[in-house]
Amino acid sequence: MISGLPIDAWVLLFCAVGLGLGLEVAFYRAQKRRITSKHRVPSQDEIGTG
Amino acid sequence: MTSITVISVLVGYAFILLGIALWGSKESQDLKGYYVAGKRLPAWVIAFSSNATGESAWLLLGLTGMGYAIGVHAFWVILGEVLGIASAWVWVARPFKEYTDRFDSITVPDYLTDRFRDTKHVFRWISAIIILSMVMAYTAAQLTGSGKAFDSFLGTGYTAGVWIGLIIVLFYTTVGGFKAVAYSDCLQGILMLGCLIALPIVGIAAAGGWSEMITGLAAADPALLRPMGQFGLGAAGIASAFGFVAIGFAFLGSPQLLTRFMAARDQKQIIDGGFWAVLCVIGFDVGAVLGGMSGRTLFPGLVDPETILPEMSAALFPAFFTGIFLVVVLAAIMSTVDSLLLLASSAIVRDIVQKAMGIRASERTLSNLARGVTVVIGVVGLVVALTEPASIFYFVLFAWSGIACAFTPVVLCSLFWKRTTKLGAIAGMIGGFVVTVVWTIWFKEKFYDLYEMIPGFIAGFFCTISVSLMTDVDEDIADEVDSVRRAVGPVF
Repeated sequence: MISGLPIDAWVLLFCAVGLGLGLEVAFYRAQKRRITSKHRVPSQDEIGTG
Repeated sequence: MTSITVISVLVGYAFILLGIALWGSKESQDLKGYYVAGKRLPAWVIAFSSNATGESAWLLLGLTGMGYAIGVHAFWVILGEVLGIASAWVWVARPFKEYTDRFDSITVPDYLTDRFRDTKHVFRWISAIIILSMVMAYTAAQLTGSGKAFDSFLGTGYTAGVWIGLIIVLFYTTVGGFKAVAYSDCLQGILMLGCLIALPIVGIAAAGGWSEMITGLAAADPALLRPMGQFGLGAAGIASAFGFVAIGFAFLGSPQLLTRFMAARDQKQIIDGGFWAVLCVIGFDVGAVLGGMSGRTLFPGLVDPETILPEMSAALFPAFFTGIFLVVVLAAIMSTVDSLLLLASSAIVRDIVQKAMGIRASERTLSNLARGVTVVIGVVGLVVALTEPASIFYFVLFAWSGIACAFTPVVLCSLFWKRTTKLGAIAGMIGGFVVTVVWTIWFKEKFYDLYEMIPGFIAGFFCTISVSLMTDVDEDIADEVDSVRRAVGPVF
């Protein structure tokens, strides 16, 4: 029991909220990273001096 | 005095909808404007409007009632809906948007026709029949909800309540088209979220705090605190839990929700919108279930658990907020009815009249026809609601399932499985829909009341896959799936 509610009920609630939210956050971060890297200006080292 | 305050809030809300309708009317002069707002909607609008459309009065009256009646067992609904919505935005939205932009589709049958090179318009005819039959039931159920809400909040009588709800929604839908529908749905979604956050906070506080609420629930019925409810871990409990989770499957491919992805301005709006949509549905569902649970300790012994929200709003909130709650219940109803009316109207005007029958007319004439059809479908829903005022949520869940099982397995296969063929997709649509109806009428009661969404989905996938494997796929179509996959890039 945590705060009167059985532990299996808490587990179900956290899964109910956490699975979908975790999936969406992972997707959002991956897409934002992809967009950022696409628009990133390459550094002088990456361009080379030659 | 109380009624005057509530009516004032309602009238104010009606004026806001009127303003949105007039603002949206400029962009509804052609079919693309009337049905998908010219494909220019931003992330937050598609996020809130898709959730508001998907949830309906079932969220405010039905899910709060479930929290009241079965307690923690209703958490399974939250699991299904949050996972369903997240999966739709993560996996379905971007490839669907890419396809529909390439084809310039403005309806889901449009997409299926182009995706499978259906020159005989079979998808359009089947879609129109399924959409019309289910939308009638769904709209009638929502109008029934409107009648009950007006009657319980203001004592208008059931019939007047149905009429008032329909007149408001018909006005802004026909005048403003999809742009007005999407923005008003967005406003309605925000209002619903606000009320469903306030409801459990006020309810739990009124019950004396969290611990007192839980103690009260345990004293009323210990099964209210068990994840498997009164059933335990038997077949009935598992069937019930799976049925609740399956409610969320529909978010993966129901046409009224896919239309939002089509109407997004670009792919970036989908990346941003998904985040808002998931946060929004968590607020909706957790608020509704906890609100209902707190209501059980405050108002034990209600004859109809689905009246817990009106009971709580009248007893725990000042009159102004009671008016807001009435507006929110109506908002939930209207945000679903408006989208359903447009969906059915598009199935007739765009898919049958313009494309399948090939009737040539100006865009202006077609958009006026679309308005006329919207009114006719609304009136038919009204007649059904006035003559058959049955249980709201029986029809809502049935129609929700009927549309989802006809379209979702086929849409998912068409997006992700190159081997899907036209005949497979047609078999999947018919199989998913027919099994939903047959299961509900003849088998449901004999199998622990297993929700029709599960057999309907299984049948939809089975028919699509098995018939596709028996028929040949066009190489061009298979290559197109790869091309779309490359264009949208990886998910993670």
